[in-house]
Amino acid sequence: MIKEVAIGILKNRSIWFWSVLFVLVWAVIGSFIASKGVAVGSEKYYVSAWYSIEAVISAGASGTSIAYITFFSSSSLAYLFRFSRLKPVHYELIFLVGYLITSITTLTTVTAANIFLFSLRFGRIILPEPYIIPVIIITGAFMYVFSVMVALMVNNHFSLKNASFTSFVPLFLAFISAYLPLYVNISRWIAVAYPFLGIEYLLSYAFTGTVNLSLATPSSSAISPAAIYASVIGWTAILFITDVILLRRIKPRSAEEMRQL
Amino acid sequence: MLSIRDLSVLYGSIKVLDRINMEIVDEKIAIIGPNGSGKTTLLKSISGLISDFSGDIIYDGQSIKASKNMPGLGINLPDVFRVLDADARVLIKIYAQAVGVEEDRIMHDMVRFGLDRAMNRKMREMSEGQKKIFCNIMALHLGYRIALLDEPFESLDQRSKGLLAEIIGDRREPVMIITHEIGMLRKIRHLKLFFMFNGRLFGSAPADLIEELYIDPDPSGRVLFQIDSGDRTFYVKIGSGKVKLSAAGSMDLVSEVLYD
Repeated sequence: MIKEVAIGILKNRSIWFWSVLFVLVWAVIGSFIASKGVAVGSEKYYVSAWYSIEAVISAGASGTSIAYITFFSSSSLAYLFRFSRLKPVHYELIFLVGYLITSITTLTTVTAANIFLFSLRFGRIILPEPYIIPVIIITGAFMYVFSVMVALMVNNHFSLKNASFTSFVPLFLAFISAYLPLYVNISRWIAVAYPFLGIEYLLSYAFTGTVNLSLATPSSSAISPAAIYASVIGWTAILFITDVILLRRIKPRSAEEMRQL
Repeated sequence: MLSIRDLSVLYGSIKVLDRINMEIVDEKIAIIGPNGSGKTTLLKSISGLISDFSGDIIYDGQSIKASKNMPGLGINLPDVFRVLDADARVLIKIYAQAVGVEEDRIMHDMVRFGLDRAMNRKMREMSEGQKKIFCNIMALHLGYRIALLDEPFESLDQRSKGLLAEIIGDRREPVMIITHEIGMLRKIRHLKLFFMFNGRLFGSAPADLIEELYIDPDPSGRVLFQIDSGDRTFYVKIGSGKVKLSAAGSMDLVSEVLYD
């Protein structure tokens, strides 16, 4: 079923629009409009900051689509868990892997476009380290389990009046978090414990090879990427289990009711 | 197969279903009643889409409230087919695999109804008729033990109505049809007819006799059973009466004449 789920998500036009096309506008701005005055030798830090912000926003936009899809699926899932062989844990695994295929595709497209645009701008090829691949996978996995959790929490326990707004929580958090390391002094604890920052630091780390608390200042204090990896993976595991528990108690809600609201 | 015991549903202070009792073992049944009589609520309760009810619904020996992973019950409500907001072809593959039925057989029926041209469309991109056909076929295949069909003939053209009646008629497994259109029921053989008024269920009568069934406020004559809708009492009779069921076309018209 993974193949069908992957095809189903890959065909979602809003994921492609918001996670790729919308984000590529930022890549063009970053590479050709905002890049004046970048000091020689600091290009990779500049690229890493722009890229990590774009990638987090891209993942957040996908998360919003996933939350929306989850809201509309509540009756379908309630039916499937009752009258098919599908179990909540299998659903979560199958859809997570299906989503990861989409997420890897969209984030790889964003990464490739950034490499192309920034390399064109600076006249030399700027490539990330190969460990960007596991970072992209972790980013997708975290965003999926987080977005499903947000949607199910509201679906099961709150009025659907909040559904549309709640769908945007992954994007809001991604957007706000993405700019924090540029403008705010972030403590080591927050950097490690807050997963939205964690994925951004890891994405930046793939270009620079170090995790600096400020994306604007390459000389700012560095922290261990291993701690951030452990934190984001830990959050993903906790949210995965939370999703399964919420799926077991899923409340069927009418899609028409949500549309009217 | 399916046993409904003292089922009551309240929407706020309004009693939508009132102590429904019913057993479906190996038969096809139709429930007819005017709009708002509680038919769809009954169907949603059976399929677990409404869980806030009193009484119990037993499917294959297990209470619906506690049932998990019990394939074989199909329902044609569009809300049930919204996983991923995917197109029809992907939905068929996902549901066929999840329930364990052959995808090819579902596709075969989709082609029979001319729906093969709409396979790349999402449910929300389909016309009302296409959506109804898609949900009907899915419910009939996924419901290989029992299929619950809510207004299955609504929005269909004459050819599709006839074809659907033929498929339901040829089916061996139980079906529960809920409708306020009476005309199509004549075309389905061996159907047991129930009536629903104000959340109460009454019956039954063989639908094969539909041409001879009448509803009448007067109890004289050959009465099959009495319908006590709460505010009025009338009788389902054979041979003569105020409203001939088959001529009325729709239960809304029957209701209008009776309350006139």
